[in-house]
Amino acid sequence: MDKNDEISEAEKYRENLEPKRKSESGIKAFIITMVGIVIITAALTSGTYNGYDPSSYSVAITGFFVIVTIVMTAMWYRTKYNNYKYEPDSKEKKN
Amino acid sequence: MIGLTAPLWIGLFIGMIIGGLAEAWGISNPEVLIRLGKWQDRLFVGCIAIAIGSGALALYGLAALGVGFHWGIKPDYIWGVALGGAIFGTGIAISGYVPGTVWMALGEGRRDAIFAVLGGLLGAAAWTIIYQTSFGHWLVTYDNFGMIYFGGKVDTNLYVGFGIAIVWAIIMFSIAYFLPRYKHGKSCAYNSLHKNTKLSPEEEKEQVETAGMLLEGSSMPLGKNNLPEKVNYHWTVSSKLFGVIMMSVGIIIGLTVVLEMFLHQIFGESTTYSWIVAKLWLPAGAWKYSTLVVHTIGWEPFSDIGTLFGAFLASVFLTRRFQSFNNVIPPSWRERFGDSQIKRAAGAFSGAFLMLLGARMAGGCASGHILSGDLQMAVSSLEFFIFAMIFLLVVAHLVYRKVE
Repeated sequence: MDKNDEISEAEKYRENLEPKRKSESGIKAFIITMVGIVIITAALTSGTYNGYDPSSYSVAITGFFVIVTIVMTAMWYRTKYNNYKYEPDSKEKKN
Repeated sequence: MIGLTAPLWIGLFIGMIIGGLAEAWGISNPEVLIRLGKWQDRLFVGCIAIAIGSGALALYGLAALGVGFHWGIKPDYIWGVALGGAIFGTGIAISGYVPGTVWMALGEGRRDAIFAVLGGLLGAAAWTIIYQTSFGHWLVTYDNFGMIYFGGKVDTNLYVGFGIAIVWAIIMFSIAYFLPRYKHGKSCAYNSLHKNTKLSPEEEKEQVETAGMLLEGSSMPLGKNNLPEKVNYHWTVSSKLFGVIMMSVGIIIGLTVVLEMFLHQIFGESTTYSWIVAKLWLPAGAWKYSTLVVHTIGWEPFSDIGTLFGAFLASVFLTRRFQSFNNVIPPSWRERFGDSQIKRAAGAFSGAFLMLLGARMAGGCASGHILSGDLQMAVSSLEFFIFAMIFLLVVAHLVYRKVE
């Protein structure tokens, strides 16, 4: 199926609305590091246990690192793009 | 028999695969399930049908060949499953969430998901309390036919089960093939077979609206001519469910559930809510349901964290829909109730409360019953799905109908 006109127009419309992409290598390196930390934390705190009722401490510390990663990423993007939020019905370019 | 039981933390990876792929589909966006309730966009039905069909074939085929699985068929207590399904469907219509998509939405940085998590925990706690009563006991014991699937008792008659799985898969693939994704669109079969078809103006409009809705609130500019643009404007909004990409995602999810059953247990998301309640508020020993939960829960807390994390990673690296907790109200909700954040928070909270109450009452949710259960051809899961769908459609029609 060919690329239809309305979709192409919507893409162009969005491109005009959104700010230019900036370098995100810092936050992406942070996230990748945190992926490693989360997996290692789960593996070390849970070990080879394969029964029922996982350790609450293991789940809590693993979940904590995940939440920290998400919150830090949210703060980074809010700061980097000056609280940008895509609104499909908006008429003005942001930032 | 070939068998294996993996350590609990491996559940993280399973959750990450399913969470990441489901986020790419857009199911973490509550508007997607609300539109399903309005019968406007049936993506969820088509995708789940592909996953169930392919998973059922692989599961019963391998089981018949002697591979050992950790089966997770939920007991069919007729009245409790029916009532639970009805409450669950009502909760989805109001909140736009199922237990797994609440975690995914949190990973995608959705603000209303925070209220949905809190409502969900309270809903799970409500069932732990009701379970202690004679009514709760009646719901799970009266007319209880045990763990049965279309071929008999769980893990028996596996050759017959494989034969039934072939028929079941044909039904599931046919649903995905012939059901039009959009209200005014052509069937997925037609769109997949006629590559040069020009979409009707209504379908083009739906596709553009879906792309806008999925990206709404994103805190990351998408950029142009890149992978995220393809994902958001072509793959996930397409009505070609039998296109290579959409079908592969469905098949991968189905096979991941089968892998999960081989390694440890079925894919479930709602038990974790009851487990958190047991650990924080209503302890095992004092509360019968908490005792049951801690004695039967496996790696779900890890696979739930994986679901959350997988959706987060997909929303940053693949779809660029990460919202950084911006204020976003789903369009259908906004049209009906306005853009008050408090109203939306109340809707997410109360809907998630009902949804988790129903899920725990019936013994599973969209993951444990509808995906994993229907993949195992469990009788209870089919019953749950029927009741949940009926109530989702009726309640969504009543809640989101246009009011003068």
